[in-house]
Amino acid sequence: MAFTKLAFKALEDVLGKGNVTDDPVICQSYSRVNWLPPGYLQRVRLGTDMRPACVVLPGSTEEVQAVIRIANRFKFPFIPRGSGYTFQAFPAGKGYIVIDPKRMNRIIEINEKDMYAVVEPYVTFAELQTEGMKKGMTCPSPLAGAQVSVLANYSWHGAYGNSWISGIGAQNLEAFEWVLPTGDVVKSGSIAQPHAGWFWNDGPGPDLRGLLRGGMFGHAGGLGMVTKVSCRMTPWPGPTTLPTRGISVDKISEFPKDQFRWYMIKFPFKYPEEEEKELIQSIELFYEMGKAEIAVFATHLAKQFLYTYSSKTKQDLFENMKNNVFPQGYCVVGLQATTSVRQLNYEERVLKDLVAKVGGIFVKEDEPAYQVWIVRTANEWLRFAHGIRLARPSDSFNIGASNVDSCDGIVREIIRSNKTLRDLLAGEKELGKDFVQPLSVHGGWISPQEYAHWCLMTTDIFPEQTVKQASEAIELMGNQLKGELEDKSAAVVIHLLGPSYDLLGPMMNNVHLIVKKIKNTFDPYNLSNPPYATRPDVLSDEELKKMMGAH
Amino acid sequence: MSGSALAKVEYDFSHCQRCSTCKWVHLWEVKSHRFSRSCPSVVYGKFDCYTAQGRNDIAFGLYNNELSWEQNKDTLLDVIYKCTLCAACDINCKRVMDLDIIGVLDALREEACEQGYGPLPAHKEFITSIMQYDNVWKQPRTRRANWARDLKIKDLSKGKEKSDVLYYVGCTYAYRPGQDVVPIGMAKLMRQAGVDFGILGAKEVCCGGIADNVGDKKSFEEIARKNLAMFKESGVKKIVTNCPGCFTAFSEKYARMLKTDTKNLDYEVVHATVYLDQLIKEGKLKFSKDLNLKVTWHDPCHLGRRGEPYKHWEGKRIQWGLTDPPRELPRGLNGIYEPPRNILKAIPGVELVEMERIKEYSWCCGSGAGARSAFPDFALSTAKDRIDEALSTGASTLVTCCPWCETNLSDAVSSLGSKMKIMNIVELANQAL
Repeated sequence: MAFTKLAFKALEDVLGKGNVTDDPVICQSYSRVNWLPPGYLQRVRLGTDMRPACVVLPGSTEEVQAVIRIANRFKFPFIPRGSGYTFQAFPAGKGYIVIDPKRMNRIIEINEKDMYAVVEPYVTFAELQTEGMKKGMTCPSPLAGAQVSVLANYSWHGAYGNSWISGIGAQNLEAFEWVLPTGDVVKSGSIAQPHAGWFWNDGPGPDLRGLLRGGMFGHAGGLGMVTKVSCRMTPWPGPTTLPTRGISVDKISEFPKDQFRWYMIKFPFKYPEEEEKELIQSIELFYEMGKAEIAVFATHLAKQFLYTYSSKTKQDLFENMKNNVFPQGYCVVGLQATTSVRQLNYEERVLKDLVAKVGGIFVKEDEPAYQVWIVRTANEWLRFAHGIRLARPSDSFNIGASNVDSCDGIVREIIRSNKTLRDLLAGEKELGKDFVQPLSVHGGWISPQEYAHWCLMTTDIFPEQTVKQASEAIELMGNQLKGELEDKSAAVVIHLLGPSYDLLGPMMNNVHLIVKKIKNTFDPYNLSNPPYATRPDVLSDEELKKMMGAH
Repeated sequence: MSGSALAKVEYDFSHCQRCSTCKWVHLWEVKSHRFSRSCPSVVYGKFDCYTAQGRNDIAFGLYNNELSWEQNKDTLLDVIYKCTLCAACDINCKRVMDLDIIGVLDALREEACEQGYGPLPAHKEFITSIMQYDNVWKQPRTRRANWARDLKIKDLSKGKEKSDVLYYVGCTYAYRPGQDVVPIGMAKLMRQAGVDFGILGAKEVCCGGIADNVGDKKSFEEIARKNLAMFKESGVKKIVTNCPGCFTAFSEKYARMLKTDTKNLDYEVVHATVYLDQLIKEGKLKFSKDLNLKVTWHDPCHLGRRGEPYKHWEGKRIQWGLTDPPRELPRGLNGIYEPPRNILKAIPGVELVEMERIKEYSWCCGSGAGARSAFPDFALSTAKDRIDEALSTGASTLVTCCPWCETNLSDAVSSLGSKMKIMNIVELANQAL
C-alpha cells in the first residue's frame, strides 16, 4: 500500500505537526547518498523515487513504537537511521518514510563503576567520548568518523582503529532496547530483568545481539529500530579533553608523553617486491604483542590509509604521493598509561624488545613519514575526526572488508586480493584504469582484533562518480574478494545494492537462509527497510544476475 | 530550469559525501555533549534540509529539475534563508573534503534572486533603504556622522582634508541608538595612539554586504562600485573598520566582485582589533586602569573563519576532482582570532576565559546574513545557546566586536533574564584608559 494522506495524518497526530513532513524540499535532503558507488548508482537508477514520501522526528521509544505501528497499519515501509551515513539509510523505492532520530540525542547514563554508557540513537562518538573522558573512560572510534551514531555503529559491524583491545562495534554492545518491525518493544541483556540496570549483554533469556549483528552486515535497519543501547567503555588515563593547537586543517593534537606514546614501525624489505615478507613480519609483531598483552592500538596501514587520512587538502594528498612520503606500509602502535607511568614504561621496554625480535625498525622522528603520520594524524585513532578523508582522492570510494579467523590468514588474503586487483587493472577489460593510482593497488588495512586473536582487513579503491567508474568499482571489488568467498577463508562484506546476503550467503554457509527466517518471523509484512538486509524470499539465479546487472 | 549561479558550484553540491561533518565542531574540539554542534540552522530546524548536506541535495534537485520554484517556493525560501551563512559547515567540511560549501549556499541565494523569488521582504527593506538613504536603517544621510559632531575629526569626503587612514564607521554603529559608543571610543583610542585619520562623514555609504549575503548581486555591485569610487576619490590607502560585516565586504566581497585577490585591491582593509593590537604592540596605546573583570570572547563569524583574505581562482576541474590551476580554498586558517584576545590580555585586571566553541569553530550569534530580520525566533534561539555557553565559563561579561552580534546577544540576555553583560571590545578598552 502506498503512503497516504491518512497515514500522514496518523503520524502527525502522534508526533505533532513540526515533527512530520512530506514537503518535497525537505524530503529531498534525505534522497541522496554519494560516497559509495552503490549509493551513487542507486540514485542514478531510482532518481526522485529515492526521495522519501515522509520524514518523521520521533522523540522517544514510545513515539518510535507508534510510528512503526502506524506503518504496520497502513503497510508502508520505514527506514530507521542514525546519523544517516551509509546508503542503507535511504529509500530503495517509492513510498518509504525515514525515521530521523535527531530528537533522540540523550546520553542517559555514564556508569564509571561498571564502565558502560547508555545512549540514544543520535549521540555521536565524539560526544560520548568527551563525556566519558571526564570520568576516566572512552570508547572505540570508528573509521567512519566520530561524528556518526554510536548506537547505529554498535548495532552493526563497526570497524575501529583501536579494535586491538575492543574488537568490532558489535562486541561492545551490552543491553539494548529494541522496537521490532511490528512495533513491539524487546529488551535484551540485563535490562530484561527489572531494576537490574544496563550493565551486561546477558539477561534472563537469550542474548539477542546476534540478531542485530547478523552474519556480517548487521540488520541494516531491516529489523526495526534500536532506541537505546548500553555500550562498553574502556579506561582512559586523561586528559579530560583532547589537547590541540593550530587552526582548521593545521590542527594537531599532542598528548603528554606520560599518558600516551605512539610508535611507527617499518621493516627492511624492498617495497612492493617484498610486501609479503613485510606483512608476515608485521603479523609476527602483532602476535608477540598479543601474547605480551601490551598496547591499546596496533594496526598496519597501507599507503591508501596513510595518504588519505594524513592529507590536509586534495592537493596535499597528491603532492605527498608525488614525494613518496610513505614509501611502504607501516605498523602503528599506541601505548597508554592505563594504570601508571611505570606500566607505560614497562610496555615500551617490551615493545622495543619485540620489535627487535621480529627485525622491525622504529621510524625516526625526523623522517617525513613520522612527521606526517605521527605528528599530524596518529591521534585520529583516539577520536576519528577525519574519517571521510578516505574519499579525498576522487571524492568517492569503494570499500570491501574481510574478517579472517587468524592474522596469518590476513597476509594471504591481502597478497591475493592485491594481486587480483593488479591483474584486473591490467586486464583486457581495462577496469579501473581511470582510478587514482597507485593508491588502489597498494591496498589493505590490517586491523588485528582483541590482541591478535582474529583479524579484519579492508581494501579500498577510488573511482570517480560516474556510472562507468562506479560500476567498474563494484565489479572490481566483487572479483577482488572472490578468492576469499570461494575457499571460504574469510567472511566478506561487499557493499552492493539491495540484498547482499542473497549473493554472498550461499558462499558463507548459507547464512542468508537463517537471516531470511529471522526476517520473515520478525517482519511479517516486510516493512522494515526492504530489501535490507535481505529479501524475505530466496532469490533465483536469474534474479541475482538481474540484481548484479543493476550495476 | 535553474540558472547560472548553481552551474558554478555543480561539482561541489554533487559530491557531498553526507558524512555529517558539517554539523559538528572539529571532533577533536568537542568538549561536551551540550556544546558539540556547529550549525545553528539544523539545531533550530532539525530536518536535514537545514544542514549544508541537505542544502547540497536541494541545489542538486533544483539544478536537475527535481524541484521547481513554482511549486516549492515557500519551503525553498525558508530553507535557503534560514541560515546565517556563518560558514561553520564550510570550514568543517574542508577538513575532510575540498568542496566549496559556502559557495553553494551563496549560489542558492543568488539563484533565488535570479528566479525572481528572493530575497525575502525583510531583506528587500534593507536594500531599498540603502538605495534611498545609503544606509540600512532608513535614516537621513545628514545624520550619519552625528556621533562625530563634537570630535573634530577630518572629513575626507570633501577633498580638502587628507589622511592615509580612513575610519569607516558603518551603518549600525553610526545610527543605532546606544551603539555610537563604539565609533566615539574608537576615535578616542586612535587619537590616544597618535593616529592621523579621517572619516567620510555624511557621505559614507553602506558597504552593501547585506545585499551580497542575500543574493542580490546586482544591488551589491551598484553599492560596491559607489564605495570604490569614493575610496579612490578620497585617496585612501588604509581603511579601518569596527564592523566585521563591513570588513569582509571591503576585503573579501569587493575582491570577489572585481575578480582579484584581496591583496591586489587599491586599498588595505584593517579590522579595528588588528589595528588596536598593533598599536598596543608598538607601545602607542597603553592601558592604566585595572578593570577586575572576568570576560569571555565571542568570535564574530565575519571576523574569524570568514575574515580571510580572498584569493581569486579561475580554472577548471580535471581528473579526480583536482583543479587546474590548483585552487586554494578558504579553510579558516587566516581568519582574525588572536588580535582581539591579545587586546583583552593587555588590559589590566581582565581575565579571559574561553567558551568551548571558539575561533574557526565558534558558534554563530544567530544574526547574520539576514537571519535576524527574516527569522527573529531562529536568531534569538541561536543567541540564547551562545549566552548559555558564555554563562558556563563563569564570565560576567561577553565581549565581542560586531554590532549585529551585540544586538542579538543582548536580546538573548534580556529574554533569558540573565545578568551577563554584552560589551564591545572598544568600549572595554576605553574603560581601561
